[in-house]
Amino acid sequence: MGSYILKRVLTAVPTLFGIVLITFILMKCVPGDPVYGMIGQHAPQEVIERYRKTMGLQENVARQFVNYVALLLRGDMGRSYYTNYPVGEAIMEKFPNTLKLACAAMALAVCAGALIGIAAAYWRDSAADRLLSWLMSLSIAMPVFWVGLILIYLLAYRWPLFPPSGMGHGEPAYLVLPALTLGIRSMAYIGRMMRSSMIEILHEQYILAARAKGISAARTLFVHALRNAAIPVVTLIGIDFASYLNGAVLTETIFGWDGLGRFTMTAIFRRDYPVILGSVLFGAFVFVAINILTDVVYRFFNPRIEYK
Amino acid sequence: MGQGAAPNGIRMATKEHKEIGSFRKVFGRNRSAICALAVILLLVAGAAAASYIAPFDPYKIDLDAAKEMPSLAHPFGTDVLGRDIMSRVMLGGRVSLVVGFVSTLSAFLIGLLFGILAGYCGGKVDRLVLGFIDMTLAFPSLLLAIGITAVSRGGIVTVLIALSAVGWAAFARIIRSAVLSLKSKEFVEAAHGAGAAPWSIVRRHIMPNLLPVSVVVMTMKIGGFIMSEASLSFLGLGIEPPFPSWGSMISDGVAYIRACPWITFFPGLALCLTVLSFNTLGDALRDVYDPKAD
Repeated sequence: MGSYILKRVLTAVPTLFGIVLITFILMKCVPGDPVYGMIGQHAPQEVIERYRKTMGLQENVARQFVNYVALLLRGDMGRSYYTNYPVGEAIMEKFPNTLKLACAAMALAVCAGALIGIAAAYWRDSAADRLLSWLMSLSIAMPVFWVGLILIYLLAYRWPLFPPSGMGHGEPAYLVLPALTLGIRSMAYIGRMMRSSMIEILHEQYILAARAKGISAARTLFVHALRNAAIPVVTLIGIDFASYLNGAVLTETIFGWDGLGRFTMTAIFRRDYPVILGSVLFGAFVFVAINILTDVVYRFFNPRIEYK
Repeated sequence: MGQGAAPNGIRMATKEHKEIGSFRKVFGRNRSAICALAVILLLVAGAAAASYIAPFDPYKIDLDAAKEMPSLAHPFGTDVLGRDIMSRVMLGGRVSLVVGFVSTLSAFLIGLLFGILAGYCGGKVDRLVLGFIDMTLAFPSLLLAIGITAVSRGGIVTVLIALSAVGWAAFARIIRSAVLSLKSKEFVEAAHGAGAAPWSIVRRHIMPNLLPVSVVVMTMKIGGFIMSEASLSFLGLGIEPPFPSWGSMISDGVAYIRACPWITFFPGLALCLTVLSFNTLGDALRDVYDPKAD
């Protein structure tokens, strides 16, 4: 297991390098001079030259890339043009909020999705199954930002059950609508996956044996079948969770949730490039890390898979 | 169809003799697929004829009629500037469908090129392309698209570039594996043995057989592309106003969600219906052509 993890981490190194390269190219595509972006166009020429020198911009592009990688390895992602605050520290301040929202959304998606999937598999081909599967297709087709706005209208204004936006002082009520909005797609994907893998499992001999032995339907379903049916769902959870962690841009923007996604969006509207690229980079790193973690967990749950 | 001359004059099959499938096979007993196709045709017709059949001028500002509730005159109501939402939804459909289709096609073409390159050449080329695919897929897709649009000047071309740059990798991966499986088929080996040049094998024997899988994956993915365009426009990074796009129309209603939810509701409903129809159609096609894949 240990050597597998090590190998998996090592194979991620070229990918990470590529990500840094793409981010660097993006940064070079930014229109205008970054020095003007920092100190304005009307600064005296010698000040501009001095900034250019301290930022290493007079060197050639390859050299700049090496410097950039060196900075990143020290955990330095530059400073915001607007607040002059280090990007890395700002990201770390926003990350806990994003993590909270991501966990709530995922918990919701896993519980609801698993229940829906199990019910659909148990009563498969019935009217209820068809209705559920249609609802899941619909949930996947609904735009996240639209769902959020409709939920705000219905559950915050029409029937004021939850606050429409913001984070309050951390009360759980503020978490409900954003988590629902963010989690609904994953719920549908998990429900679909759970249904098909459950149907497969329910055909297995050992389920029949358990039923024949007199174990109740509920116990067979939730204890015997669920354990194996849940394995393919793990991968799905990993992928979605990773995308939540790099800041649910749309959801956080709509609900005024003070996380990474909104942080990125604010930076985009201000053309605050170090922050934008830092966030993209951080998001990609989280993505890679969660993918590795998912593979490891998957193999932990499913020891039949060989360690290659 | 199905016959082609190898360079040395031997006539041989260019296609796998597998049923390529028919309209009946896809739609025969699948009622939801029929509905999906009907909705798509309706949307395309509505978007294409928007300038003729729209009840009002979608750009006409009429502040006396601002924020009117849905009524007989304005079935979807009017927006903040008194523009008829139904007319704008029809015109916005044009943007969403065209951008969705063109970006899917361009992402697919890039994916096709790299997929064939990797699958057919194998070896070092394959490893290089695969690495590139993995790298692109490692980025959170919306965030990368946002990053690209943010560093460029915006507008429709930028959206197309961003969506293709993000979306090609998924196509490349599927095409690559399809090419790999075709490469080991007897008819390709026979063509190779008969002395056909690699380019001619790719063109005559591989490409025609990629058609079914291409149609299926493009239909399955187009909904996602339409959604991504809408997300970018919603965030103000996509199609620029006053040109209506479903995404930007939804964002127009954000500030008025409490008093006039219809401004947000109807464009979103159109978007939802479109994506749902394409996904349903894609699933139906996949079930016929490739029942094992998921």
